[in-house]
Amino acid sequence: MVIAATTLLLACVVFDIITGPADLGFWRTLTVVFNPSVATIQEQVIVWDLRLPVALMAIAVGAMLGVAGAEMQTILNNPLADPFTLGLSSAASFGAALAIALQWSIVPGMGDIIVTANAFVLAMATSLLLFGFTRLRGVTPEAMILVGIAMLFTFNALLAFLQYGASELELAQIIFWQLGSLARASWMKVGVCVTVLVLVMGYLISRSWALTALRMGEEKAASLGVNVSRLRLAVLLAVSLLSAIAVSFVGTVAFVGLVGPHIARLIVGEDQRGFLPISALAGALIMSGTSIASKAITPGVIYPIGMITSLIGIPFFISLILSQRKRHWQ
Amino acid sequence: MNSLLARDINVSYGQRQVLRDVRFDALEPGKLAVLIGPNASGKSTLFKTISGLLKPSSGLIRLGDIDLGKLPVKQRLSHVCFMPQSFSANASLTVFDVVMMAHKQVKGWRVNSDDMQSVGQACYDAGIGDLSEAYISELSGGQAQLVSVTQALIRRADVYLFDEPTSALDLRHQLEVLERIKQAIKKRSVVGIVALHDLNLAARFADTILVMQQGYIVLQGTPDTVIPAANLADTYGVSIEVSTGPRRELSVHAYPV
Ligand SMILES: Nc1ncnc2c1ncn2[C@@H]1O[C@H](COP(=O)(O)OP(=O)(O)OP(=O)(O)O)[C@@H](O)[C@H]1O
Ligand SMILES: [Mg+2]
Repeated sequence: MVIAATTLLLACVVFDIITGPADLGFWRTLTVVFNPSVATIQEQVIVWDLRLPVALMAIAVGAMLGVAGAEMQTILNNPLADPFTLGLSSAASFGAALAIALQWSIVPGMGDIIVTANAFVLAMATSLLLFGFTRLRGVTPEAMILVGIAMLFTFNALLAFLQYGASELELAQIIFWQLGSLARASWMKVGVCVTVLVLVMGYLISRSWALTALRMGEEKAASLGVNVSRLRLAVLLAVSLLSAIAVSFVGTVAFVGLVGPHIARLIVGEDQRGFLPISALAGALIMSGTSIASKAITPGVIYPIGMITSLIGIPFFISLILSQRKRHWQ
Repeated sequence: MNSLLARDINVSYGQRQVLRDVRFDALEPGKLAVLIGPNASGKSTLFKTISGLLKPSSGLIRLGDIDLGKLPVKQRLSHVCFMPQSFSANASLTVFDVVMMAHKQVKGWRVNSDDMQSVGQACYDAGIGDLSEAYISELSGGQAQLVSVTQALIRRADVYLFDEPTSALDLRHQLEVLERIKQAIKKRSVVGIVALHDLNLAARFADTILVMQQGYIVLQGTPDTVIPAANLADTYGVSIEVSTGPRRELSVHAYPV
């Protein structure tokens, strides 16, 4: 299963690299990837500086969102939890808009990366707020989802406020940011994503037993020796970091964090040993597919990925659910 | 093997005190104790306190010579096995998986053929063998409860606490499960407490009955002495008639006052 998915993923990456506005052809592109010295400077730039980072970024961000969604759903016991529904994405959008419309940087001295920095800081602050809520006595996972949704609306309202006052140029920039784009990928960002992803995955795998036990119910997990509140806190912190980085780098990408884990659940169930890696792979596949689609729909035009994820994701997802239903009838 | 006793346990949720000076005399290993009492009297809270999931503000719980209050939670849970009252979970995990997880506990994922064997056997014994590949989210209420009981019985501990293990079961399964619990307690020579609402089942299976009312343990004794006691009527706010059947079994009839 994992092998099949990984192969598919590799195929996607290759496909992702060979598609793009400049038509280099299949073999030529691969030659440039594996033997850059033979390529012209122009080809090198296209493949190494533009397409490869985008292709890898798609995979890294997809996996991050898949993992973040999977664990948010696990610790909050709610299949609707993901970085988007918990308000992290809208917080990031608002942060980015602050930088674009008001040139206002939350952390001073960020220079070129104030948009990303703002987005990250606000997304992280939002999850810390959620985090604070879990520490209050008697706050249930359901209440946390509600708080997340409240954040979503708050930041959307604040964002609308900024958009209302923004100039046309700024408005276009804000909307472009919000729609999500992989075009901002760079090797540095890919490096950051992969590092954080590997660290967080390592931690989550080490807690996979406790996380699986948590799905049997809070009390039962506790009766088996799981420290439920501490687990929730630590995992929430870890996945907040993942999602804050992901959304601050690529903007709002709805759906991946929601659907990746659902696909994993349908395929392997919720034993974390399968659920976690398959969620990551599913997320990565969706993002990679999106990246390809965003370039392939109209040759020469790259559409924002945030738009595409929903458009190609939803039919796929619904057909998956329907095919599952049929299986139950047999 | 060790007996279990409690002295003056007080437990509060925030400002609200739920257990008040709860004490019971030594519960002997091999004997089944049944905890009865109206809704919200504190039965589940007492179980959570004994297993260490809730911290009492004061009091002593002793297992033989061990002061359970002094043990860290993990270690304590190797002495005390607690089956919570809530048993259904909407998770895509198979019955076999969850029984295996209870069996292995914090020892983690590594599983050998002995483990496979004992989990398979436990499922078979509990009559859920043919369900072992089913997801727990797809079980009926009673099936989920049988799984929950199996998860508790497969663990090794010195004290077993079952919080209403038969509340969702049909007549046959109620008798079967309580019989299985009683036999296990006896064979392993461990302390067992079962919280029940059905006084007839309590009378039939208990060696000792504990009666809880508004956070106090108000009575402790054999079914013969406790069940007919006039206080039960007061405890439950009903009028109670107790008769002795042909096999000397007690049967309890309740009427609204
Ligand atoms: N997590 C909690 N927070 C606050 N109060 C609680 C909590 N759990 C239980 N209580 C309160 O403590 C009291 C005792 O509850 P407990 O669950 O121990 O009763 P019980 O005897 O097990 O009842 P039942 O027969 O209905 O299971 C009740 O008044 C209940 O409202
Ligand atoms: Mg209870």
